[in-house]
Amino acid sequence: MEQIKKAGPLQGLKVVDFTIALAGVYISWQLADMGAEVWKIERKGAGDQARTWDPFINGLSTLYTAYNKNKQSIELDLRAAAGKQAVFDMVKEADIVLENFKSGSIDRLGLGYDVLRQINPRIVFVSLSGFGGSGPLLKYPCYDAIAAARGGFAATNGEPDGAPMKAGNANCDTLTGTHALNAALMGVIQARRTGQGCHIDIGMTDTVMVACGETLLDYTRGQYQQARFGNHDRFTAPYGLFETRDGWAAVIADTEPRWQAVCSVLGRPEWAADPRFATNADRIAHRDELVQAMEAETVHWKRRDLEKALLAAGVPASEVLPFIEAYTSDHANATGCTQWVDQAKIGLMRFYTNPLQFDDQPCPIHCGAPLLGQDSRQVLESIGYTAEQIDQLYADGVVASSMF
Amino acid sequence: MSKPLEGLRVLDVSEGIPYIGSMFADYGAEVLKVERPGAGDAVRGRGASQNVSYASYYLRGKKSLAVDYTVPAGAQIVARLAAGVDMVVFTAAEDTLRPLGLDYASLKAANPKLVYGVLTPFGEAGPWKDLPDYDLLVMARSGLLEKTGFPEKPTKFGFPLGYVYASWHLTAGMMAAYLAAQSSGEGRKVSCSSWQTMMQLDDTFAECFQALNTLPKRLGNGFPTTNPTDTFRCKNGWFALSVGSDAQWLGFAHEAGMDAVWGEGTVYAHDPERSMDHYFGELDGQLRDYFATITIEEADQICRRAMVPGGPCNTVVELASDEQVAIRNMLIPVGGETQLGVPAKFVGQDGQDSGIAPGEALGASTRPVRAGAGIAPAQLDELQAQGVIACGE
Repeated sequence: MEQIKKAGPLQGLKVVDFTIALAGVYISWQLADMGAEVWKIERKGAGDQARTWDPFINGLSTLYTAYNKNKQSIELDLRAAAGKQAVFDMVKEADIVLENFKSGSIDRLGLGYDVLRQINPRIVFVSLSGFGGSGPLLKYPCYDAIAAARGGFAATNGEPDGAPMKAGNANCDTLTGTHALNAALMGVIQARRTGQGCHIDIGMTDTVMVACGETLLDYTRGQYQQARFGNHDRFTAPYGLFETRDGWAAVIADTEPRWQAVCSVLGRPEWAADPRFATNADRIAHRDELVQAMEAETVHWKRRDLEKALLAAGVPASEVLPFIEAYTSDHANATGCTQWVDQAKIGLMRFYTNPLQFDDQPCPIHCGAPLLGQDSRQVLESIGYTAEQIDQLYADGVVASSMF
Repeated sequence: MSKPLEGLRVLDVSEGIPYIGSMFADYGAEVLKVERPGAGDAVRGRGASQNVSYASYYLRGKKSLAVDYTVPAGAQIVARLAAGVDMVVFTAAEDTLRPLGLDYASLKAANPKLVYGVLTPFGEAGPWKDLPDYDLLVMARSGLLEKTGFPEKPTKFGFPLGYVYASWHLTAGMMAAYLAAQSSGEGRKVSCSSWQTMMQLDDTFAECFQALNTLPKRLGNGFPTTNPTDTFRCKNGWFALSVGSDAQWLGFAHEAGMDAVWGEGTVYAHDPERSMDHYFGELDGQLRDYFATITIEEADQICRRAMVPGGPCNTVVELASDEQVAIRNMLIPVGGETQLGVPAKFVGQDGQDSGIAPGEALGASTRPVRAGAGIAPAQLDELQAQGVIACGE
């Protein structure tokens, strides 16, 4: 079926992508969804480390496929001079270089910013790492859970007297990737304005400190009390998660009429006149009692019924949906939350569509994730290599198409 | 050298979600924030019940214009301002803006290069599109909240994670559209659903469902494929450990002086014996007992010697005096107080960490932008008396 679509906003933008871990891979995925041409440079014979991660279908990691659709894979021996030359030739045409090797590794490989800027002074070179490119932690390894710990992200979540809590997904990786995506585009905007590229250094622990924005002000103003506040808001009550018969529901009563509606829906109109709960300030002061009293009622409700009754009474509320109920919801199905894609080695798979729309059109998924070296030849052709030159690179073992 | 977004002009008509404007303002764009006369943006009231305010942080680097754009005279002012900027952004569906003449087609007519951003909780279509606009409700419907926390109950995030993510996605999309407009002369509408943002971040749930026909579990601080990953209470605080391979595990066991219990030759030496299926049994208990006997500083040294990912669960108290944080300029002075710095470092562009202006009082820029907003000097008082605008001093 022929579809008429406006090209993605980043059509024509070219990205040389060395990223091998989630935080970086996320940036190039987003750029690819918006229409950029992403040349995923993969180590000969090995490739992206996510290719080896559970779970697999037909030997291909579905984790790998999720974050690499719409990209092209070039399998190269970066230690060979001809492999480096191929990178240089790509960089000449490119706008952005992305890397998230251990700090300094790309310099030792001879492909650092100081080298590549000589080849293309307008290049925007993004280095993403756990702790950034400086400081005493520079050389130490960092995973998502460690960035969550060191950056204060985990300490922000959970009960005040319980353990700090990281997210159920690798959110420090993707949160950093999302910020770095912005930085990369800022770099391109600046390069178009000034003619000068730049080197952007971004760390996961630095980025996730955004979680501490408010408590930092509490601390520096001398009003510090605590880092985390459990399942209920600090300033408004009720505002949080309540247990139900079959799970949990979020309930927010941020005005007095909404609080009165909560009382009436829960069949406890007398609470509205209870001096412990009369005003928001009273409810904050007696928050634990309030939550306990409300939960004694909500545990008799099914979460969906509670949501319906509260919404009908004008109270912001939602059942807390398990993944599968969100994934298969009417809303997911009506809004094209996922799209069927023909994935090499696997066949039809559902991929999430991008959250961004341009002129009310979703970002198209042109192709699934590439097999290792799937596009080596085509990319080299597109930057001007002849068929003979490419054959020679294959024969010399500099370029490969392992296709796993 | 200048900041990366110097010269970019953004009209920020967001309400209660400051992260969009802040992404632009923190990196040098000129952000004019439109607020309701009277109370202003909801972020100004955050914490007011406890006599604290975070407005200085959320509004930093932005100019404040107080206009009620829900009335025709105010909408006209916003439309007039949109004609002279590169980007405008709303946190309301376009359908609600159309009757005010603030839809994309209307604004584009006067400014073809305009980038028109829209952030909504659930998108502009579908059965959930009119549900209330709160981060917690978006999170509740995304699956992530239900999967965050210990097995016994989900844990709410301590900050609006969904709106931060969605705001940053929208700003990226708007910058992509701006780049396209620079060469084509044509802007675009860019819209982002916060819910869809949280769904597509999922890195394992859908994949495990498709590949293994299994559903995710709520694992506390664990991670299904990196074992052990967990958080332990040391003598003096919480410590996170995330072991990514057998080699790292053996190194950790050695530096911890526990070769005989956890090292080569023991049942835990190789995965999958440390995997989640086994983990909540004996090894979990052993690790808890072990960490309870040492301090977080000792745990940190063990991980550093073994080159194993590990670290203390810092709170602002630790971060405020952390050498790493200081070297990375992650605490910066803004308007006489200490605030968070900016994470993306444009290497060699001096001054990016120190030059963020404090936020403005409500309506402080109403008078200065009067001419650009198409308000005749004589109209100022009248519009102010009608409550359409407010002029802060």
